[in-house]
Amino acid sequence: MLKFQAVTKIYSSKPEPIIALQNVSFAVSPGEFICLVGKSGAGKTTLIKLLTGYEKPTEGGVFFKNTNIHELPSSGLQKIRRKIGVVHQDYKLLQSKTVFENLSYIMQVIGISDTDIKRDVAQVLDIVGLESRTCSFPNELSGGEKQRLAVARALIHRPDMVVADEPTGNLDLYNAYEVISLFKKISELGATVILATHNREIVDSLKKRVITLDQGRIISDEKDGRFIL
Amino acid sequence: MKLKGTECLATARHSVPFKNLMFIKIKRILKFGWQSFSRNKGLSFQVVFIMAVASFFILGFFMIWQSGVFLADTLGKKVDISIYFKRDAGEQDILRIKDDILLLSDNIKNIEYVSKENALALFTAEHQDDEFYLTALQEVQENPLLPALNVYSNDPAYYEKITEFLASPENQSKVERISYNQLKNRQAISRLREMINGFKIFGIIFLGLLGLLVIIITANIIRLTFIVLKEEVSAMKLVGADNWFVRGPFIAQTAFYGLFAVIVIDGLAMLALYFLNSKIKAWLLSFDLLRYFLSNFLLIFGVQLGFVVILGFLATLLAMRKHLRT
Repeated sequence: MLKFQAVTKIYSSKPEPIIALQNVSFAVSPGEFICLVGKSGAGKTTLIKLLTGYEKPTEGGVFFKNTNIHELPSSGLQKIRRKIGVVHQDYKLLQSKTVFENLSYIMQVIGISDTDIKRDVAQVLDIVGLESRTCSFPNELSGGEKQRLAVARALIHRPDMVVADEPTGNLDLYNAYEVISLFKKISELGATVILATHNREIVDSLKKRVITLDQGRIISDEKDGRFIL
Repeated sequence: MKLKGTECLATARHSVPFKNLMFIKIKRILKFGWQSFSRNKGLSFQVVFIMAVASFFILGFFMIWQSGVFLADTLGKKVDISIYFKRDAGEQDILRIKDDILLLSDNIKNIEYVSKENALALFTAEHQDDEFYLTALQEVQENPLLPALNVYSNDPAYYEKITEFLASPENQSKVERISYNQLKNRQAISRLREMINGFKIFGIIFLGLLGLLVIIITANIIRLTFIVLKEEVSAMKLVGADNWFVRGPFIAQTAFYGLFAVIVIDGLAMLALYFLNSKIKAWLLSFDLLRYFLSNFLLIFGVQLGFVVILGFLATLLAMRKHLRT
């Protein structure tokens, strides 16, 4: 499903370049649930940016379904992005669109009919508890609500893979576990899930494969792993 | 949050059939464009204003050009040269001279004979409200006006031929005087026509420069908006929207700006012409600008709309090109 092959990412910066990822390699099978852990600055977000084509690797390749996504033309990359649902750390919500429109946008992009959009958006809003905020704009939402909206947007178009960068950072414990349960459910439905977090309790309770990053390198990759930092 | 209901994430969905996809996408792009237009009122006002200025100049170009053409035509129809005959010159002799002049050249459009009686009737009609002239006529007691031939020509060069023809001893004895004042008229008409041609060239260059200016200003306004919307465009791209699905609504939005700008300007122009038409008619030798505007409305509206929409399109492409590289 996904393969990182000897990926290095260096940001040119003064006085000296920053090595965000160094020779990172791993593979993810379809339907797998992975926790990506590491301290702040370990390279989790860079890894996710490379995975979504937002950044290009300095060396190595990122393969999605055996296709190097960084060698694709723009239109090809967009098609890949439609198959990946991403919860960004900074949400990346569409500020000029309402909650309903934020969710319907991705479905409109992939050409879902209006009838199905109305039905599914209503249902997903109900799942994430934002049914009363349908017509609100993102700047009218609390941090937790924004996070739930970002989660809903990553799931609504039933992607092959869901990637979440600290999706519970702004949520209370109850809602954090609800979001994680949602990801588990999505995984059971066949989607691959990559969860980047530094929440020890969540990682330990999940008992899933854990990839640990430290200073841009993978220091551990364990099935049924635990938070080791 | 509740996990109950997550089954919906596995229920069957209906993609829009491929043949309808393009139509649905265009509909969605227009809808997004309209949303953006109606939600960003401040920006919409600024761009509509800039585009309204551009469409005002286009309208002005049409109006000035057509008024110039009308003035040139009207002045061209005015008397070119008048030959006044002696009081005792016989009508037969005058008509013979008229026929002879007509034979001089094909460029003589028409010659009109005005008898003493007709001249008096025309003069009286023209000055019916002017007490001074009417009293003077009554005091003279007899018709002081002379019979005349009014010659209309396409080319001022033939005035010389006519003058030479009238200088022959036989004709000279019958001619009282020739009015060459109209030659100045002819020169004025030539100058007016040159000005119209010049205006056309100047107008097209001016509109070209104006277009460039509108592109730069609109592109900058849109670019300033995109600095704010940069993250938004980036977010759209990250969920897989293709370039046209991102760019389309912005283009639609600028088309709405253009449409509103043209509607506003043409509406105001129509109102202004409705109330000022009688004064404009007096200034422009009875040229009915309102009638011209109404009878050519579709053409003018189409040119204005096409101009501002194309400018908006170019400005949007220019402003967005950097942000679409995400």
